[in-house]
This record gives sequence, C-alpha cells and structure tokens, in this order.
Amino acid sequence: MSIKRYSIPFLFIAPSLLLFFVFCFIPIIVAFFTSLTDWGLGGASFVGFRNYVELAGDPLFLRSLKNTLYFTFVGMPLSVLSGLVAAILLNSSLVKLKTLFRTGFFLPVVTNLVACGVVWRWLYNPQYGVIKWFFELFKISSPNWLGDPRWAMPSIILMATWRNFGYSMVIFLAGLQSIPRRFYEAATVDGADSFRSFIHVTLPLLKPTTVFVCIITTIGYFQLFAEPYVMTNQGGPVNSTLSIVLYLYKNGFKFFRFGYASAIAYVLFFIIFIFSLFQLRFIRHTVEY
Amino acid sequence: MKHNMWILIVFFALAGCKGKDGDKLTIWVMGAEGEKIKDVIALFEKENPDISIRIQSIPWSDAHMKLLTSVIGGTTPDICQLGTTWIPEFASMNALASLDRYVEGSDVVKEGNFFEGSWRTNIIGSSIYGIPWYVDTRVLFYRKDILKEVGYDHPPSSWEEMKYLCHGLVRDTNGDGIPERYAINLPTSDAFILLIFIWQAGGDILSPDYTNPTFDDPKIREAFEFYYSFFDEGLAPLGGTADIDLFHAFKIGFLPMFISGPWMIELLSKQVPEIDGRWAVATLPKKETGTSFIGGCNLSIFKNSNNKEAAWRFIEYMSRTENQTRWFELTGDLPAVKAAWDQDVLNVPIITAFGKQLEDARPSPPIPEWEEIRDKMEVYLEEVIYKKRSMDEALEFLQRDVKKILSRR
Amino acid sequence: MRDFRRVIIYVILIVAFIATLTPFAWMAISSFKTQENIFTFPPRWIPEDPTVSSYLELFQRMAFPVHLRNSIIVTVSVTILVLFLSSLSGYAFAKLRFPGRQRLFVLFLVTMMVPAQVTTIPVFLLLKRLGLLNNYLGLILPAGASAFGIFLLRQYMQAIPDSLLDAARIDGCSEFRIYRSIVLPLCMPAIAALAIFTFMGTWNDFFWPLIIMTHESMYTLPVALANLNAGQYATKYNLLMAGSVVVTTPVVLLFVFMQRYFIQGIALTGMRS
Repeated sequence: MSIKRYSIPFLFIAPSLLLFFVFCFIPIIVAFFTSLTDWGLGGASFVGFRNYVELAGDPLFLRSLKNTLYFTFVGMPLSVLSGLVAAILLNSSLVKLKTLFRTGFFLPVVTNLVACGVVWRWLYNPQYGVIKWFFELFKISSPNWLGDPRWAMPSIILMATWRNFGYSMVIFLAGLQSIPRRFYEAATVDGADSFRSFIHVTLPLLKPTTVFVCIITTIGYFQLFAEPYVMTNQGGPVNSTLSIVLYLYKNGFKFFRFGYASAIAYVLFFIIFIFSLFQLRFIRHTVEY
Repeated sequence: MKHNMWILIVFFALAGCKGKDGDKLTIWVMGAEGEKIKDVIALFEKENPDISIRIQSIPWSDAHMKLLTSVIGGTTPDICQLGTTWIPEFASMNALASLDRYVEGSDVVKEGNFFEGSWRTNIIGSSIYGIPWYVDTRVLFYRKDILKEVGYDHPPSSWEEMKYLCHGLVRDTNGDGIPERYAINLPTSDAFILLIFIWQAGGDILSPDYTNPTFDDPKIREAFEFYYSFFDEGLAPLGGTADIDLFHAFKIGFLPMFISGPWMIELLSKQVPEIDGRWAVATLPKKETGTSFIGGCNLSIFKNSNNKEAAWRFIEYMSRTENQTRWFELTGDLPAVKAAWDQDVLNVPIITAFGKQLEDARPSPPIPEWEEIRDKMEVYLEEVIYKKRSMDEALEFLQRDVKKILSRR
Repeated sequence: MRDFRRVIIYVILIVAFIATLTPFAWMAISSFKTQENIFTFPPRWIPEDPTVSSYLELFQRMAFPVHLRNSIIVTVSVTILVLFLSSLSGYAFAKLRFPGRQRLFVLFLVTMMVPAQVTTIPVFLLLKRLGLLNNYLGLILPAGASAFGIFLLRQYMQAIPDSLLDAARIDGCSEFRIYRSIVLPLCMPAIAALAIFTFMGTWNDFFWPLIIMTHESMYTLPVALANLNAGQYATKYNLLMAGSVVVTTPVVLLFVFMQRYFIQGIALTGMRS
C-alpha cells in the first residue's frame, strides 16, 4: 500500500535522480576522495586530512576566504535588493515601456563576460575612465579603482551587482505573478494604500521567492571566479580580489595540485552549506495558504 | 502537447549524432594559428600523399585546461603545439614521447640549427620532448620622438642609463604630484620581467640542478630593488596599465616605454597606426648581462600516438628553413631556426632587434613546478611594490616557500 | 501625488537603464568600428566610418552554419530537458508527500555548492567511459541535472493552493494529469524564467563544449568565436565585440519574446470560481 503510494512521487523524481546520481553525486564523491590524496605532478597517494591541515595555515587561502566573505556579504544584499526594486518598479501600473526597461536591465546578464570586462576596465581607468570624469564633475578626486588594493574589491562588487541584478529581477518578476490578485483586491477593500499593501501583502507572499534568490545568489557569489579572472589579472592587486575558487583554480589547473584544490573545494562547500542551511530555515515559516 | 513531444524526439535524435573519427594524423593548434596552418598543411600533404592531417584549433584562453583533461582522460592528439613553459609539466605527467631517437636520425632537426635557449625549453633531464616551432622574447619598446625630446637619440644600454633616462622622461607640469607623463609601463608583478632582471644582475633563482632556491643571493635582491625602484621613484604608475589602455597611453606619450614581446608589433601598427615610425624596439639595457626571456611554442608528439613516424615527418617539415620563413610571412611569428633569419623578409630593423636579443635569451627553469614558483614570485614582488611587506621578509619567505614547493617532489 | 511618484519612478528607471545599457551599447558600437578606432579617448559613440568588416571576417573565417547548428541542437535539447525534469521534480518536492523529501531536496541543492572546477575531471572521465565524448549528449545529459531549476519551480509551485489540487484529486485526476493540466499552466511565469536562464547558460557555455569535443565541426558558436582570437597575448577587440553581439542577440530576442509569459498574471485570479 505505502509502496504504491510512494511510487508516484518517486516516478516524478526518478529521471532527475538518475542524472544527478551519475553527473553530480559520483563526481562530488570522487572529488572528496581526491581531497584526501596528494594527486599532483608526481602521481597520487593517500594523505588523509593533510591537505585540510595545510589549508588552515595557508595565508593565501585565508586571504581568499576573507575576500570571498567580503564579496558575498556586501554583494549579495546589493544584487538582491536592486533586483527586487527593479522588479517592483517594473510591476507598477504607473510605468509604460516595460518591455524596453526589462530588456535593458537584463542585457548585462547576457552580455559576454570578456566584453563586459573590457568595458568596465575602461570605465575604471584611472587616467581616462568615465567614472573618474564623473567624479571630477563634483570636484572629487577618485581612487585608482582596480589598481588600489582597498578599492579593487568594491569595484568588483559594483560590476557584479550591475551584471547580476537583472537575474534576480526576472525571478522576482515571476514571483510577483504568483501572488493571487484577490489578496490585493482584499487589501484595497480594507482601505490600504499601495505602500501598505506592498508591506503587508507583497513582501510576505514574496518570501519563498526572496529566500530562493538569496540562497541562489549566495551560492553563486561564494563561487566568485569570472569577474576577478577577467578584471584584475586573476586576483590582484596584492591578492585583494583573490577569491576561493580562483585560488582553487590556480592550484588545480595551473599548479597541478588536484588533491589540494579538492580540499579547498570542500572547505568552500562546507561554508556555503552552513549559510544555505541558515537561510533555508526561513522557508519553514513561510505562509502557507 | 503531442506536437511538443515530436519536437523533443527530433531533437534527441539529432542530439545522438556523433562526430566521426578517422585514422588521420591529428594536430592541435592554438587559436588563429589553426586557420593559418591549413595552407602549410596543404603543401605538406602534397609532398606526403600517404599522410592526411586533421587540424583542430583550440582557443588560447583555455587550451591549457583542454590539454590537461585530455592527458588525464587519454584523449590526446598525435601532435600538439605547446607553450615552452608547458613542456616540463606535460613531460612530468608522462604524456609526451621522447624524441631522442628521431632527432638522432634527422638531417633537418639539429640542435645547432635552433636558438640555444629555445632548444633548451624542450630538454627535460637528458631527453628531448619537443622541437621549437617559433620563438618570442621580451625587448624594450620605446617612443623615439619622446626620447629625442629629452636628449636621447638612442635607447638606454645599461641599467644606470635606463634609470637616468627614466628620470628625465617623467613630467609633472602642473605640480599636483601626479605625473602627466611617466617613463615606463611596468606590470606591478611580472615574474618574467623580474626573472630577466635577476639574470641580468648575474643571479639565478634556483641552483643549477634545480633542487634548491637561491633567493638569499644578493644578486636577486639587487634585481628586486631595481624593479621596486621604478615604482618607488615614481617612474612607473602603480596599478599597472592593462593592455587596452597601453596602446592609447603609448600613443599620447603618457607611457613612452614598455617591455614586451613580438606580438606587440602587429598590435601597435593596427591599434595606433598614427605613431608608425615614431617608435622602435631595442635589446634590453644591460647590467652584468643583457639577458632576456625566451618563450614561444614547440611541437610535441604525445606518448599514446599511433602515428609517431608520420608525426615526426610533419615536425621535420615545419623545421625546414623555408617553412620557418613561410610561417613568419603568414603570421609574424619569429622563426626558431637561425638560418631563416638570413632571409630578406626578416631584415627590417624592428625584427632584427628581436633577432639580436634572441642571441642572449634564456628559458624559465625547465621544471614542472615553475608555474607555482612564478606565482609565488609575483605575490611577493607585488607586496613589496605596494609596500605591504619589507624586501628582506619577502625574500626570506620566497626562499622558504619555494623550498617547500621543490621538496614536494 | 500620483504624478510625482510616476516622475520619481521614471527618473530612477531611466538612469538605471542608461547605466545598464552603456556597456552593451559600447560593445555593439565597437563591433562596427575598425580595429584602430576602438580605443579612442575620449570614447567616440558614433563610429567615424562604420564598417561591417568585423562581421564579414567572422562569417568568412568560420563555418558559421555548422557551429550555429551545434549550438541550437545542444541549447534547445538542454532547455527542453531541464524544463521537463525540473518541473516534474519540483512538483514532487512541492506538492507530494514521501519519506525523505526534505533530505533529498537538500541533497540536490548541495550539488550547487561544490564548485564546478573540482568536478571537471571526474565528469570528463565519466563521459569518456560512457562514450559521450565528441557527442552532443555529452553536453546535454549532465546539464539536465539542474538543481537550480528544481529549486526555482519548487518554490513557485508551493504558492499554488493545495485546495485546488485536492479538488482535482477528488474528481479523480491522476497526479500526472494534475501536474500537466493544473500546475504547469499556473507555473508559466517561472517556467519562462527558467527557460531563459537555461537557454542563456547553455548558449553561452564555452568550457564544456571545448573540453569534450574532439572535432572542430562539433564546436558550438562561443568556442568557434574564441578560436578566431589572434594569439596567446593578443586580442582583436573588434572581432571579440562582433562575436559577442552575434552570440548575444538570439538570447536577447528570446528574452523579449518570453517576457509576456513571466509578466502576465495568468495566475490564480481566473481560478477563483
């Protein structure tokens, strides 16, 4: 009886489960065992947790950890918030030409990253850049954005926000459609103005979407790689934009230290897992209706 | 829905298609060179009707990654173009075939025919794992007109003269402390340029058997200090100038000198044709020596190739003097065979300066750990330049870290 | 008051619009410039003598139809596969009860947290073992496992009232029928969003097609375009920009087309009666 009852949910999941098993679970387990070896230039032998011990004392790894946390905790709220604001503005009945605006905001998401990198390096140029010119209008002298260890990461964050907020916007736009209109109608009948109906209807009902966007963005931002790869010559200046995945990439594919690289991946995985679990807790309290 | 199912079926049917594999000689070539080599291959196939070749071009940006996975997965081609610094890595992974036997029996491929530094990039232990295809080396690019403006009608020939000239070039006309003209563009961390300075000072980073680092050598400190002084004395802008702005900076004279390789020749004439004839190249200024770094590409045969004889015939073909010259004409890549330099097409001042520098150019240490050592050098050099770490400490840590890297073997 | 708000909203939107559009516009404009005109300072927004030579060079130097075909086959297959599998699993995770549901879901999510760089080599070896190298399926099947898609659709489906599904169950509908006739139509906004993301991600993917294809004739567009670049240290920016425009345009068109799906509240108002 119960087998039959559960066979239907299983059928729904089975095709995905098969692909996940083959192409995700197996490679991830393989990577874990790799992290217990010193697989590299001279072959591979089992070393237990030595890679993890070495990581704990590796100043470059700790540096990359710090940078990644910085990037994620400043960049994630920025991207999610600006995506939310864009979605809400574009959902407003006051705005015309929505298709145009939406497409414009989505363009950075689809534009080739190398091309974006070129354009942004040019915007940030300390001698001729547009941003410098903009600051000069207000008689403010601007720093050497990508060339200054203090400003390189904020510059990367700005560029990443620009590039990714259209992504969150699209998900929020879809999420806004899941809110039944009758709730708004009810709120209007109760005499709520649009700001109050936003606070009391939209935000709570958008919670599953918000949790989703936050988790996805956190997971993605923790794996920061492409932006510093193309923008700051793979992590400079003075490693101020060296991210964990960039460091992993260097160890695995430039220095051929696969064991060590896998250990880095697992530490990162563990960190992301903790934060995601923390965020997932919010789902439990989702309004069910 | 029925309709949708059909689309699905058609797509998966198409998706099941697979490329065919012939028993041809497969060669991997990087980027645009993969197209240009097709002309050469047509000639080769005409001369060798029994061999047919399949070229696959691989974008430079991820070529290293593609090679690595194919080595691990055992899906390597017969021949691949390899950057000179990659040879030790792939040789140590046991992926490359030793070419000793072929070189011994060859009339075309002889050690003495090639630039010595280029040949040496292929020697690991006592065996040879690749044959030089083309070379590059770093030289000084400078604006003739701007140097003349400060009284120089020749490029600097020594470190001292270089520094003197640099101080003469810097201009801060409005006195805000930020020059309107610097002397030179220098990356804030470039291990190859640092390595060049170390060699020129008469030092080296490793003991001759490559087992011990020698960062405690005062000659290395001298090179570090030389590099550092360009930033400390305000001769080069901190934060480096990326390639895109370099062209403009060079054009307007903001950065009238830089150190780079032969690929800049074509780029400069394409990006900033306005200053054609106003810039030149010269061999690097000397300290104890004027040594530069030699790079470029070699051709290697993979161990699991079933076509090694045919592969060797192709490599031999590419090493012939006339084909080396032809390749230069097609691409601008500098010939690795010295005799090709006697041809008229290479007898223009800019090219001959490279030729002169190639006579005194060395490769990076032929050990697989070079990439990691290089990264360490760049990390510490940059920290010193940004004044985040003292020079003494940086050198001490470099010595320690590189020792650790080498002890892992 | 209403007008004032409208003005504020428009000012914000227009400023943001210009800021987000600038780099794209610059890319598009540069693709019509000659190489020497690309990096002029101050930047020139209207090319002096616009030229399509970069585009001509692109089309002449590569087998465009072949690579376009590869890209379309792979991208469309992946998109269909992901939409189908993710919506099935998403439905099960959102609306069906079975033991281990929460744990299995977290296990799926976990796969997103391991950086792809570290599973590259195991997946490559696996594909080789399965005989899927140099095969479209080698690109399609691994991409079918989309935790992102399952997560997105699950979140969205959770908002569908259970009462609606229960009513259908009482009427004797099978779960698959409910999924197909009630849940899927209600999820169009999320499905449209997922379609765009999947299409875009696969279309732009450069890494896997390069790694697993051993014949140039199997390269997708981004790989073929990257191949045109000049050399190890040299970038031809006008070609890069023209190539980016060529690759980006289909995604932008798809986005424009799909918009009506994710902004239209087909949502639950019509279902009240």
